[in-house]
Amino acid sequence: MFIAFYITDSKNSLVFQYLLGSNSPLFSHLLARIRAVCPGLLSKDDENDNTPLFHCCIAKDLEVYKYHSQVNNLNYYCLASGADSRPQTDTFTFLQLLDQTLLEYFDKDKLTVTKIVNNYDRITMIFYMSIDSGEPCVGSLNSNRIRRVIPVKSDLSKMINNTAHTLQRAVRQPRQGILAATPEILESEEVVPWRSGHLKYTSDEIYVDIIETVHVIYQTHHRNNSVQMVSGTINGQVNVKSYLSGNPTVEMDMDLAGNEMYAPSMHQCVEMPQGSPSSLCFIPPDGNCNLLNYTIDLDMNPKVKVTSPVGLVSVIYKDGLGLNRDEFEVHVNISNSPSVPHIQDLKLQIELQPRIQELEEQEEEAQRDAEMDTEAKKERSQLEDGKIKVLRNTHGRFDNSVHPGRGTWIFDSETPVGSLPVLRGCVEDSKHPVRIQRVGVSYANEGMLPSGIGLRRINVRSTTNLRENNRGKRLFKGVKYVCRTGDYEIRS
Amino acid sequence: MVDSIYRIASALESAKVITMDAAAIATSKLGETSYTTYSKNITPEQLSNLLNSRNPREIKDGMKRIISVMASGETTIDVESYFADVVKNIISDDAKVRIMVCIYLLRYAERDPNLALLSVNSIQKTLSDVDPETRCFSLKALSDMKIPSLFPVVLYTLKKAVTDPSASVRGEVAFSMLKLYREEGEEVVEELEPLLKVLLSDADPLVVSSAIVVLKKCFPQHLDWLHGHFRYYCEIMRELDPWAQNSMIDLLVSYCKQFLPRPTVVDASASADGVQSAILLPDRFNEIQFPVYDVVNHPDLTLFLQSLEPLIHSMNPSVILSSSNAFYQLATPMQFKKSEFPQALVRTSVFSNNIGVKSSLLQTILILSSLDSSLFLPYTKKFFVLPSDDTRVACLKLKILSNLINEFNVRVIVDQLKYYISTSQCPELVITAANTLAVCGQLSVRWESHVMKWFISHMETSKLPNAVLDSYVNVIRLLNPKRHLKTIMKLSEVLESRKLLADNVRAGIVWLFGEIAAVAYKICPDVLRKLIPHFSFEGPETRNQILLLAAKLLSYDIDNFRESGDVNEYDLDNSRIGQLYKAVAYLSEFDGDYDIRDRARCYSSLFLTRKFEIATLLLQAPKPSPVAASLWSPSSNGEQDLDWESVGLDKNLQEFHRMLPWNENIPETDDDLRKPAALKDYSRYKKSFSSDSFAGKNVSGGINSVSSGDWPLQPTSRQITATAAAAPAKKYRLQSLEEFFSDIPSKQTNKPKRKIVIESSSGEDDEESSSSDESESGDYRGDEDESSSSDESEGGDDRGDEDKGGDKNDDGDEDNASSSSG
Repeated sequence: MFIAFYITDSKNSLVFQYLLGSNSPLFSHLLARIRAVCPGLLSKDDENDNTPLFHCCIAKDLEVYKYHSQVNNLNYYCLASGADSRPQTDTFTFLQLLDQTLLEYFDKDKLTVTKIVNNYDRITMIFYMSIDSGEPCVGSLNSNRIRRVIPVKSDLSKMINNTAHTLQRAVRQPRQGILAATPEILESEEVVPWRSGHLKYTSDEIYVDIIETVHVIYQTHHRNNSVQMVSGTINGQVNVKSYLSGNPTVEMDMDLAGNEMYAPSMHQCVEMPQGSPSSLCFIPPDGNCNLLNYTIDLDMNPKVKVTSPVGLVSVIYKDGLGLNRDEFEVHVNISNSPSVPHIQDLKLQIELQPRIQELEEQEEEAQRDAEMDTEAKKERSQLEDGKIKVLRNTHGRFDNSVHPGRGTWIFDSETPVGSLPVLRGCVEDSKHPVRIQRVGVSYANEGMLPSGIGLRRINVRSTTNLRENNRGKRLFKGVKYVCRTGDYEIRS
Repeated sequence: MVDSIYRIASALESAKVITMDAAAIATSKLGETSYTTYSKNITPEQLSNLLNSRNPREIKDGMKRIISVMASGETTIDVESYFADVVKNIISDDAKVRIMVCIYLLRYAERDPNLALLSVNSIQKTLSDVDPETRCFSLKALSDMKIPSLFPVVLYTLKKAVTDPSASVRGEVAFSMLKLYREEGEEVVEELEPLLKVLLSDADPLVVSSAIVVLKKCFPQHLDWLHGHFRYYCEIMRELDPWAQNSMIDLLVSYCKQFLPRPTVVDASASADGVQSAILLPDRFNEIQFPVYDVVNHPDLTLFLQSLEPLIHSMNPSVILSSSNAFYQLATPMQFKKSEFPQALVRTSVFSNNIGVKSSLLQTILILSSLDSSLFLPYTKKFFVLPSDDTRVACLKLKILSNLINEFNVRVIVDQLKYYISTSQCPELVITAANTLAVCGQLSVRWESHVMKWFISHMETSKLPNAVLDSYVNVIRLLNPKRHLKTIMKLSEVLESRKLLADNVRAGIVWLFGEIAAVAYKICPDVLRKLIPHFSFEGPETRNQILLLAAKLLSYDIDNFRESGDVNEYDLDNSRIGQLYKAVAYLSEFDGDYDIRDRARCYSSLFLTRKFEIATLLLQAPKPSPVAASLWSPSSNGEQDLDWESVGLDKNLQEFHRMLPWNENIPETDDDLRKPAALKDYSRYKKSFSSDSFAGKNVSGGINSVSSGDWPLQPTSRQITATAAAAPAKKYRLQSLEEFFSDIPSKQTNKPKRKIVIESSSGEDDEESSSSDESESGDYRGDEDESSSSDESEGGDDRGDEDKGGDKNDDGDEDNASSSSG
């Protein structure tokens, strides 16, 4: 049973709280308690001091759950009791759902603190609707119901447009003047729980976004300078934004490009596909919705060669170059693609191997070291892990990290495709051969998906004539492909 | 003169203030931020004025301010002091304001029950609103107030609202029951039971969803209520709200265990002999001996498992988790694999970026994979640690990997583990990886020596934190050093040649030799001999361990001597080991560390007083092996409750996956227990719409197919109607004035509408349902009328009685069922 909900920013200062009773503690009180009992709950991901927790018991039968929303950079806390034999998944999922609901309600890509502060009343009402008697309120979690009860504030231009359109229509079809409104309301029944009845749009539109996130790990083979995939996954997400009148059925046909989607997860509205998930049929919820999540397993797919790169960017590096064998070279190959103009925010994190002291060396130094005190030893080891110095660089800039032996090669926000950036660097004052331990790659591009999946066509079927209002205009406003990297790593 | 000028000036001044206010409000239309600034500047006095204003706009502004103070945790304004001002706005025409008042009441009603009760009458009025949404919120608000004197009113309202034509209101009834139950507990059980039964027999998936949640929370022991609905629920499984699906699955799993016979597993491979051996589904997962087998299920169990299949596409991880648990509890590993839920588990855990969810899913996978690794073997690579993984997630992945190791994938896994051990900064991860690597080593002798060599070389070359080193030593001990004496010898060379090794590493190695003494005694005395000359140069930990090693060796030597059957007493002074020990003990006596001095004295007194048995007990005690070994080796004794906590699993997850026992003595009955009961169909969905092709979604379709066979029940219930019409559930109640006055117009509007409906409807059943379907206002009024003038509004009454008849019938069914089963 939920007792209270809190939203805080990443530094754990309160942004919003929703208390479900007079006994629910204020966040300041809870925070003090958490600090005393389990400070791990408050620590952030990137701090290495202690591993962050996401759940803890602060008293008997009183638990705190935490969900960190990466998109919004907000923390959601939930105080709950009586979670006897249910796994914690419920609560965590519910917190995530609240986050999504807020995003969908405000139709934003990112929820800022200001937005929350400005809309305290609405957000409180959304929470009030989503939670009943301390449980997720079954049945009113659909965004359409929330939107029906708490209408979205429409801005001025929308209002003017709508009024103009209504007038225009009233002039064009005088028969159905004011009286026509009544039958419309009468048939306002919901066909499906996720879609309100009698939706009317002046211009009917539907958009599709497909976003793929690549998680791949490669292993370099020094013998033949090739890389081999250790493990690889592509997580795909199909989002549909629909503004269609009436209750249309949408058929979506996808080109899977030979990939297999095993057991994808789908929105409630999707009709079970016959055999393959390539053709889906659904009554879209109004507005934004996450239609389909799929995972492509690159390890099991025989079509994917373990050596061929995933996505447009591939990286090869050589180390132990130069006279002192203390130089290394990183080659990036951005392949050409007609549909992708440029790569965004390309970044390479380079990490050198911490020099392992060779055995024989140490034996040599053993005697000397014995006399030396530990302080001096430390100093020496610090000196050895020198900074990375760039010798030649074709694109972008190089940033040394505070950790010795690490650095980031940061490109401009847009790098044209077809280019071949090269970075050659060395380690200052190094007496030993330099080896690269790992290179992490991160980038994003639009226009093409690494899996090659694409949308073939969309059919919208509706009894009410959707084209009535916008003859000659297309309903389907296009598809957007976005590729991002999650974990892209090349190890040696 | 001056006076008038002054007046004009003040008028202008006030005009200016008004204009500014107006401007602020006007800008609020345009920008949210400016409205917030305006709202923040409302003073406490102004707030009181706003709330008491006649202008709805101002009331709304006031309420918004109240809500934002509540939400932001500001302390500048004491919201509670506005109780009366806020609560009286419950009669506002604006739905939003009403909701905001309800939110206020939810939080503060308990603090001031007397004032809160003032609002009850107004809320009750809105309970008969035309708009189902309004009725819904009124019901919610009413039940949200935790004031004991209000509970009878709530209960009465629930009894009335349970037959509301709107599904969302009926759903809300369920939640109100939950609230009532939580406050009153056992006292209201008798009243709530019939209500919940009515809701459970509802045809609408939304109502069933809410009812199931309540059943799970309040009456999880009353599984027998599900008898008549089992098949229907299986049918509508997919249409239920995702947040109710998991409760439903959990309940039905318990139901199946309780009321369905245990499935039989038939050996399919032995069919050549003509004799098929068959066993009942074993209590533990994966205990079926047959290589190939068929499963014979009760048809209802098959129905349930089939109904879960579409849920594989669910977006809600809890549903996936519950469904997997259902297969784990009710089916064989083969069926589980075929259902593809293992894949759904893996996919969801890979996809989710919610760490809490991820760790729960991985824990489930860990439990399942330890019972049957083949479920997750194809996804081995999905459990490789990614750079972005949280430590906890990474550790769970490694533990899962240790379950999946076999000859085919061991090479890849070992490579990965080595990488993690040598590069990771996090000790916890390294330790887990080391343990997993030890499991790899147990696969075969070749891998064992490989792993051990790698550990030893790695131990030499890198500086390690204490905890990590401990785990290394543990792992090496685990890997049966007897077979790898060569490697162990190398370790002794390390000890000899590299004096620079960290103190704890050396201590660890020395301790290791002490343990090895149990299996390979021969090499140890020499190690000790070599250590003694440098005793004083060692670090404190190593010195401690050398002392311990000496004591252990002496103890072993004494035991060996005794076993050889020599009649003489063991001569401590003349034996070599005894002398070695004495040398160490002597050195320890002058040690700077009092711990070492104490220990030396302790051991010496044992040996000198010839308490060898105690020494044996003390020094040769078997050590518990690290977690990795005891838990994961297949030979571990098959206790049901493995000690998962040492593996770091959550208690409630463990509890969730605890195998429920099958009910062994299910009474044989001729009656079909699960004969579908009559549904309360308020079918409002019977309407042609554009998406008829959506068979899966078409709610009414599903209902028809189930209930078609049961319509014969209808006449009987009708007969009961005649007698029962006057009897139950009709308490006399005073009408409020509004109700009294509102009666007449509502009836008038009622009649013409009904005519239309009757014309359009075809059958009798349809008529009833559609008469409830007509304008909700009229119908609802009909309900209200019952108390005063029961024969005036035919449609409403008819339907109401019908339901009571249905109720009765239901109860009768229920009784039959229980008596026959008992």
